[in-house]
Amino acid sequence: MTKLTFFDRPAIAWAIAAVWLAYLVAIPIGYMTVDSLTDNGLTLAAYAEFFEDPKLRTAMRNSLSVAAGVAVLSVLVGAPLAFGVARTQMHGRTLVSAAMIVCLVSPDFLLAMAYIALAGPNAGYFNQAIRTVFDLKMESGPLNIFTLWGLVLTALPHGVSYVFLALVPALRNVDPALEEASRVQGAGPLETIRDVTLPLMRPALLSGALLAFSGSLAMYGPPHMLRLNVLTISIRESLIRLDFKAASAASMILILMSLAALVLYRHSTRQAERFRTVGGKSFSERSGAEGRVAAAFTVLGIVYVLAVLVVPYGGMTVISLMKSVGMGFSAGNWSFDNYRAVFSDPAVRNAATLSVSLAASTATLVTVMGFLVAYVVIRMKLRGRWLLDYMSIIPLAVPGTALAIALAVVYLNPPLNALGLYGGFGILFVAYVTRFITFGVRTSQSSLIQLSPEFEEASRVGGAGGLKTVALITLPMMRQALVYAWLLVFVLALPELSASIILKGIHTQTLSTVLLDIWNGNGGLAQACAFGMTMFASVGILLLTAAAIAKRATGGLRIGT
Amino acid sequence: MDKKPRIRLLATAWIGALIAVAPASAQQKLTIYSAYENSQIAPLTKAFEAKNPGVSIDHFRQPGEELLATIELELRARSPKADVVGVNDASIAYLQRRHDAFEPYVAKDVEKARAELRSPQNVFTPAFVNLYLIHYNTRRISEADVPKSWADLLDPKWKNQIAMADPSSSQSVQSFVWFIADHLVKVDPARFGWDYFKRMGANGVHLESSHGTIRDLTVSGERPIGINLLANAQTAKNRGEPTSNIWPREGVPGELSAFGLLRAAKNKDLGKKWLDFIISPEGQGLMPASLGGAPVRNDVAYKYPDGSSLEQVKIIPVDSAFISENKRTQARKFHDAVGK
Repeated sequence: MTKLTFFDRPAIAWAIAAVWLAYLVAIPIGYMTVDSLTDNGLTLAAYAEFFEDPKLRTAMRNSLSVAAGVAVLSVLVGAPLAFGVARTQMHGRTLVSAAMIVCLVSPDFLLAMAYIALAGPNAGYFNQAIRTVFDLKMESGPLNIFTLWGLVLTALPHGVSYVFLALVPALRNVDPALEEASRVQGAGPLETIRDVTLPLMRPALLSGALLAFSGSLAMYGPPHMLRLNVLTISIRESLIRLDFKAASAASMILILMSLAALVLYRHSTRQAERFRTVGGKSFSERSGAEGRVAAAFTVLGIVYVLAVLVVPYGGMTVISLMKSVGMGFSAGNWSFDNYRAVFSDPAVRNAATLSVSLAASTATLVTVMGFLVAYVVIRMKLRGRWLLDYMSIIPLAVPGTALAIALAVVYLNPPLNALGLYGGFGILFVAYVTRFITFGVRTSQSSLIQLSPEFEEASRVGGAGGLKTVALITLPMMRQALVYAWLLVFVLALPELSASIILKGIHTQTLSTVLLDIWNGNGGLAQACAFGMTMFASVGILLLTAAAIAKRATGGLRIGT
Repeated sequence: MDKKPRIRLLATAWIGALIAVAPASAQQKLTIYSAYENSQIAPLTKAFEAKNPGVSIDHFRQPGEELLATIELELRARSPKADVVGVNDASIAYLQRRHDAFEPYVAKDVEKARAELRSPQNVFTPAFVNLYLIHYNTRRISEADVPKSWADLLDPKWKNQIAMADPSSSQSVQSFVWFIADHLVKVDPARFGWDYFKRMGANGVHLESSHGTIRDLTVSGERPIGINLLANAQTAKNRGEPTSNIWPREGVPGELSAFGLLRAAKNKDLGKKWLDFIISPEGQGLMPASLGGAPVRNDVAYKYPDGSSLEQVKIIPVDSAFISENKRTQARKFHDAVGK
């Protein structure tokens, strides 16, 4: 007799997943919701104060404008690049794909730091060059990074990476027969893209745009460095004033803005079958466009890589080698002292150990639990599965700063203060798992949606139990997606800042909080650049290692190439 | 290779990494929370560790207002982790009033500090005097052109050229806000008061969370003029940066930076040794090269980074009690005036 397991008992599986998600998501978010609505009784006073405060209203408008701008521009830049890599013989496909991963891994505030050095209105190297070349009689500008457009520019590479990484696998997995059928019917290439490819890409496109939108709403580092008034900054300022009511109300408004985007996304992709592109039938790989089309995409790819990687990180490398930033490019102003200072700093070493441990632990738990939740939602036909689906996606709408405040309050008060997590590794781990659980669940869900159940049904018909079917059929077919989920969460967790900045303790400084501290005067610009470049290089090495491990595990992991 | 040993090896390495994250506890450890940069406090901590073999110092730094929030949250959670706190005297007064956070202690030699700088209840030990000044980039602004007074900063020619600290994050800037809005307004109401900050806002003043960042912006030339603290002008000079400073003719606000021993300190004896050390001739002698401020003892020789002597600078002692009680209101008025 086959032993019954998690996969054979839908009700128990549902309950386990629900308790786990409730602990991670419902308790902190529920607590914050109640906190924002109560003050010796039910009241909307915190919200009234929010809307009466012109500074907070401006912050809300700014957050929304920046997030919308980043989402739209990410699609406009990311979609063509994804198409070029997936569907053409453009040169540098590996380079562009690697650049996307690197941009995603790199903390957004590194780019902010670099762009301040390049496009600072007074002393930015670009501005100085433009003023000199065009003999402009102006002391300042013409570029100014300390604006909302500057913030959009700084956040754009992350958004573009989200769109790109969502689109490339989807573009590859479209059965060529669908597009060939369109061409046979007389449609041109552009019409085929418009009428066949783009509609099939809608979930991936919206998913990427949604991630770009919510990521921009949630970002903390760049607006902090550019000194711009957005909601995440207001939330932290409220916390510094220890005004938890104001912080909770601002957080809830930020969450509602993100949730609105999520609802829109869910509405647009509600019929999963319409987007199923992988079935039991195999298809041959397409060769991809060549010639002028490929050349145009090559140019686009090179310009993009130059703008988001080579120039900013090249600039940071130069600054990191300066003894004195104020002495500029003068002779004798060069040394490795800033790197020596970084490597000899025990706080940096401790932060590196902590961040790697946190990221690896988070990635592992998120991948495992993400698969289990996704399996319950997609494969088990239960009435309450929508609840798990919504709970797992809610963290995407919760900025790290808001989540951190909720967790701080929850774990500072009875009964959960008994766990003693506040101020240590534990609370950061809970925050990270909560922040990234969506990626684990959604990656597994996307893979399960594309994987026709007929494979598993065949196994069941053959007499295999739930666990055996999952172990021998489902997991091997999802191997690439699971490894991708682990890597994605690892690389996103490694530079996490927005929750860490609030939950860090004296012994739990992460790489990002230490770097931000160095920028904030605890070392200075040149040392921050040295640290940033060290982090950048270390992450690159880790990525290569992870890719090599993944290649051995999967027999060839492909991320975009 | 068999997979199991490899998995065990990976698991061991992972657990090892997690253990390494946990703080070591074999040495006697003094935990200091302060608003001072690691590189600034390092000469003091190293000298202290050299005098006390077997003792190591764990230093945790945040901009002042953020540090106060951290300490308050820890006090609320009844798990303060610091032994000693180093901030300005207004912040110490604030924490003492709200949480009775500090244990009085009479440091050895504290009577050598100038009388007006000592704590009447001995809740802190004075460390150095920090003054506001105009810090500027000498490669961007010539000596002839440099603003000579606080009022000069309102000149439109300095539009988008000036940076100062934001009271949302910085504690010390409260001293400057008090000086302009509550002190100088009595001397010259036409130029000073809250309207001064309104005009600064219109002149594009850039607000930063920390004075260290302002120093770096001045050094790089991105904001060639910084309303900064003496400590940062000194640090820039120590690093050989192309900067100098002006003592504005209206005078400068002077605040006291101090250390206090938390009541809940786990290492009180070490904390007391630290307080003894910072007021000692050795500790005071290190102040200009470390925290960058003027010593509080008259028997320790000192000159400002631009070569001026103590007598040449008109110092206005700030009203720490007023600042401590009104900092939230002052910050709100400041933001309303600046429009940011």
